[in-house]
Amino acid sequence: MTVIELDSTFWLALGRSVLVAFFVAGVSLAIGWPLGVRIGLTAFPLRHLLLALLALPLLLPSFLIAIGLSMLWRGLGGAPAVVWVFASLGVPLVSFAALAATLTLTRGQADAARLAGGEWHVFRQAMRAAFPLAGLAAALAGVLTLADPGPGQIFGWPGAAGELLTSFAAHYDRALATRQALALAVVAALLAWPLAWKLAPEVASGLFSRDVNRPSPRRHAAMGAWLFITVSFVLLLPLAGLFKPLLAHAWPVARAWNEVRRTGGDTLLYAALAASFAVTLAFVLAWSAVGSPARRRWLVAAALALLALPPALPALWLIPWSGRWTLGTALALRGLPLAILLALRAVGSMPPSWADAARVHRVPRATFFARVVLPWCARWAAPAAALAALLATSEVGTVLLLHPPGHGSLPLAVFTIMANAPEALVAMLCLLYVALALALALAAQRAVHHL
Amino acid sequence: MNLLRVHELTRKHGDQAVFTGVSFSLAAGDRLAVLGASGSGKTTLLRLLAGLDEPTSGVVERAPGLRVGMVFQDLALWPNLAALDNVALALPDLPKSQRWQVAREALAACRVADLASRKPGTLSIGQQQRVALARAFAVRPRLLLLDEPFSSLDPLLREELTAEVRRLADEISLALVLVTHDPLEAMTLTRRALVLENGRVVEAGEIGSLLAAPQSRLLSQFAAQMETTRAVWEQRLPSGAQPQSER
Repeated sequence: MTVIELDSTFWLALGRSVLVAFFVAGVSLAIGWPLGVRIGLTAFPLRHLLLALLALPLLLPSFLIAIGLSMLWRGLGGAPAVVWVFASLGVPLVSFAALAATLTLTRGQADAARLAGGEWHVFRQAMRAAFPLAGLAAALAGVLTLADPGPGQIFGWPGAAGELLTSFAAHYDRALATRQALALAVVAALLAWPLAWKLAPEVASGLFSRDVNRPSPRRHAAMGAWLFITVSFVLLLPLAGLFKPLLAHAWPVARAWNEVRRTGGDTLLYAALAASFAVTLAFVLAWSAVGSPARRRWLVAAALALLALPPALPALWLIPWSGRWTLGTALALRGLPLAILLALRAVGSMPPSWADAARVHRVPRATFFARVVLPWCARWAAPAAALAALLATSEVGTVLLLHPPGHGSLPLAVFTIMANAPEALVAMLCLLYVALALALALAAQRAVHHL
Repeated sequence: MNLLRVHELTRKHGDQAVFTGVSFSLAAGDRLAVLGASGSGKTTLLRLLAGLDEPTSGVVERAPGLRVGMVFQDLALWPNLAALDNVALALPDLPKSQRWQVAREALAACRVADLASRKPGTLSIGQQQRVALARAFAVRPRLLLLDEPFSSLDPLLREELTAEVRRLADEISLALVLVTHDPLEAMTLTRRALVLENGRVVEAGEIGSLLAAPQSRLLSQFAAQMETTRAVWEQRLPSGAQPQSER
């Protein structure tokens, strides 16, 4: 079997990756689970802004967080630093999972718990209710780290994904890289598939649930402080690190602008292609699964498992057809899982009676689709496209493998110049990317808020 | 002439029969209540009458060109469209020039003309009910199907909207099928009823006669409740006083 032909360096790196994955899952659960539940139960100042900031690391390339932290503390390195970076993505993921689970509690359930034992009892009950989703999200956060090479490369703790990157980017050994990617995919799938399969019914039922009468949140000013501290660790400290070289040196505005101008068009093109493909495919798949709970479970499980697979794997196979369209298609796979979940929510939140009313009143199918279904789905497709575009843009390995010569993306430019270019330039490019991601995240959050 | 004839209608989900052997017919102006507890198959029957589902066996015969209006239990208003658009979209057979005029008239008839530009999410539940009624009436139906449309309303609003439906139905001699679990609601809108229990029609006829000698659990309980209410009412009234409605 070809996978066995990999040397011990790779298997050691894979061991390091699995170790990091376990720590990341643990840290993410310990912080994100109570945090998400508390956010769901309380009201506090600047809630929307802080939630948008908490979501931002999910949309940034992990190496960007790593660059920020490495600039902030020179001595930072090894496994703890890698865990910190990955936990910056894991904590928000678990927090939002716990928040989503908490929001399914009804006002009646919260009031019953309140009468039985006060606010602390409400919190305990909500924690218990949120555990399955939060726990599984934490596990998924761990698995997701397996396919990400960036932080390990930067902090000198190379994992299996780093070995894979070295194989195709430094040694140009596509066959070895493919074997490594397959081995990594098998390990990721073995870890991710059971979780995804277990998580799928809960996620699917959440996506297809009707809105409930939510408990009114209790005002809790300290909660804002708690969330702010978390946001500081997962986002603000890395951002402070990115500002640090800019305080010591002149701002390389002209060079940064040149780099943005050189890569900006292609970056936007890839993002647009990936978002279009991902959203179109997601809605087609969601429509095909809407009538069958079994198909829905398969689709949700496949989406979650796809999230954990190394993006380099399909890219390695697509190298003979490399080009802009191929790259756009491959990048679409990165955003596809989230797009599928949002498309399922869009389709699942349409009561069947809408179509029944159209049939009874003989509304032509095309008219009903154009006037009712499309506008409804568009409100979900917009944030899905924004998220898919951001996730696709933050992917570096796929772009590295498939981009036409001279047509890389902005994150790829940062990734390739970070070792040799002046720190101030790297920092400035990173901050420009953060600004772009923040603008899109706020727009997406605004769109979701109005649904 | 019958607008609708239902003969030996049976509907099954898998091996499980929802109901079997349902038969009745409706002429213009007839009003029928389908009574039954939750899960007795009332809504399934209404969907078969509307042509939304196919029966497992039996026949639903509609008069040629029969126009049907329907008010759904959840109202099924399209949330992204304004009230006027909700009504106008349900008039695809009319030329565009007439569509808006008819939709406006329907909203006015249901006393929500001033809400034409508002979306359903911004309306109260009573206003949404009126828009749903306007949509059903706008098609100038000869048969109106009502699926527990007033079940979530408070008694005052329910009475107001029931009177509204009665008025509109009287104006155009409309045939009507009302699905409900509430015999009182059935009595205010219809004279005839059939009662579904355990997948069969256990009794059918004039509601007054049915209540005089109820065969079903639903009507027996209702008749007993009415007796209790009357007894309590008579006990609590000062001697010699009459209930206001009997004065």
